[in-house]
Amino acid sequence: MNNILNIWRKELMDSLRDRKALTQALLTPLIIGVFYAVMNPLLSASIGERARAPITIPTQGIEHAGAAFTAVLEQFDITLEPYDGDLSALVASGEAGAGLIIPPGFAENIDGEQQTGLMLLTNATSGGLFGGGFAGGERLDLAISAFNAQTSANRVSERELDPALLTPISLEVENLATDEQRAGVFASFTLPLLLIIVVFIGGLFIAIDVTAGEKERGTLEALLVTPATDNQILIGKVLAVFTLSVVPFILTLVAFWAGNNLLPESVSQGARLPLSVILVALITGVPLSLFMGIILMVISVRTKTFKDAQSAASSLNLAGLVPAFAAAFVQPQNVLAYLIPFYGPAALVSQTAISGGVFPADALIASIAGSLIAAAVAFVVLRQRFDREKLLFAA
Amino acid sequence: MIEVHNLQKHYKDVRAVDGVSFTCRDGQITGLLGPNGAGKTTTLRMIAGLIRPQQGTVTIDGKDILREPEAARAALGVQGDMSGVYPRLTPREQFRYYGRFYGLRGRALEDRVNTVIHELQMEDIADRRAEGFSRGQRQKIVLGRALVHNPRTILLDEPTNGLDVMSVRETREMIRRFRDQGRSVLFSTHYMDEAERLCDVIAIIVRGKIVAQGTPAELIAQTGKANLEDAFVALAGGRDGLLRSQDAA
Repeated sequence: MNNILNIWRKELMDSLRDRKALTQALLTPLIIGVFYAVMNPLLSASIGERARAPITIPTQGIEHAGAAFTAVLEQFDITLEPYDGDLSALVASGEAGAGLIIPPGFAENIDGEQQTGLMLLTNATSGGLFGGGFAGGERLDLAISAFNAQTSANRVSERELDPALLTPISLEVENLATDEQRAGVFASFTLPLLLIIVVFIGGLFIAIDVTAGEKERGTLEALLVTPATDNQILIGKVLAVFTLSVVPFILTLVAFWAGNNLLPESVSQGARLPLSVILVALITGVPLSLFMGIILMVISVRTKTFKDAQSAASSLNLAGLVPAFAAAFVQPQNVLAYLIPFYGPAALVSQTAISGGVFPADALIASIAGSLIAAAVAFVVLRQRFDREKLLFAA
Repeated sequence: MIEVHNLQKHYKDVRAVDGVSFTCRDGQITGLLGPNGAGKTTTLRMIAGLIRPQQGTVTIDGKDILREPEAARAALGVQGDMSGVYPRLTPREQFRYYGRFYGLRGRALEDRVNTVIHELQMEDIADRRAEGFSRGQRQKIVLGRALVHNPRTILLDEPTNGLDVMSVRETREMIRRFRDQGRSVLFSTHYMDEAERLCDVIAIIVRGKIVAQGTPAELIAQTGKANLEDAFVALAGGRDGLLRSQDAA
């Protein structure tokens, strides 16, 4: 145990004195965490804000609209704005998310109880990923439905019939999404990715430094001739890697939660991520850090130089990100799926975020167990690769 | 004391070490000499427990390196050929780190660290981070960490290689002091004059085999040459023998 502690303490001291490593291990995840923390409520709020904001639609043939139609649109905060140029070109260029064409005789046809139509041009790419294209499609649908219902009711009333005849089913829609769930929509995608990125970045430098770095410096041989056993050497190094990857990870989550909760109400619009989402990310991320650290050591233990190890390890980040991406789109069908390393924790965090902080306990246990089992298997592989003779000949 | 018996190491068809046997007694400096690729470093690495022999035994102060590896390594101080140091740690911190592996703690550890710093005349650099140290200064750290636990048996692989004149003199003086303290020193060198001046016993290894053992005077007498360098060349099979040895490596 003393030898393990000795190695752990030395590796920590050594790494903490390396400004480059410290920046990479602590500052980078912290910046990412704060960035996501601020972006999460802002984007969640902007989604809600967009849904409520007034809509202005450039329109051709506005003179054909008629007072009754524009009055109903105004009730839904939709304003038609006259546009004389090439409306198709305007929308196609993305400058406007939508354009409306009202044909001649539109109001007259309605008054004359003739069927008429409208042409809505839209561009879903307008405004980029978070611009939302034409966000008012659903509201325009509702406004036109309301206008149709109102016009039909007037026509039926004029014929002394009950307007209720036209609406055998009356549908009332109420959006019950809480502020927490609204906050979780963006976090359900970003937080799992953040989880993987931070545990990777946090452990990368030190995992390479204690393996390939030791070899490159020429200090490995001196360590191997001490009375420390191979297991003690490896466990001491694994613990050091784990410590230096889990600390920035915890700091990042604290920064994420603080950023989320310290934004003024006027900016966040009440979209705050529940603490339980952060706690689930923390509890699943800690064993994942252990697994990631050991895997990084498995990759770098036989490489000759720090640079070689860095190249070899960089692909691991992608290998972790793919299941995290998948978790945003494919939810586990049963609890065993949470055992899959990277995917299980990512899916659980995503699910917890989207449900406003509620998570299944068995899924939490499975995702922790999955990472721990994977870490144990990875350690066995690491132990096999830590062959004195091969290490020295590789050097 | 180091006892090496019938040590063998093969890499596919290459017999890197082929039945090497010798003994390094306490209070003696034993030199292991041989041309490049003769099997010196492989032999030293097997003695230090870094490489597993296919056959043969190594005991350090009676402890078998294969059966009791930790105990055998604890009895040995090794300065290997890869003389790297931790650039972000001071020499004192590096000595403490290695000292703890040998069970040294607290006052005992600090005393030993201070003794090593004093013996190696490192007081002026003991608390400076090793980044930017000269080769000689780094070599002192390497030597210091091999000695921090005060081992009775010391293994030095080319300890004066690349050092300046003053450092070479200091190192040779220190090796003599180890012998005078009754320790057993096994060291390898390429410098024949150094071996002749320092060694009580020399073992010459050529193509994985010990071809001669004895005091410098005995080896010179055995070959009828004027000095150890000529004796070494003769025992190694002359110029052709040296070249064959290097080709085999």
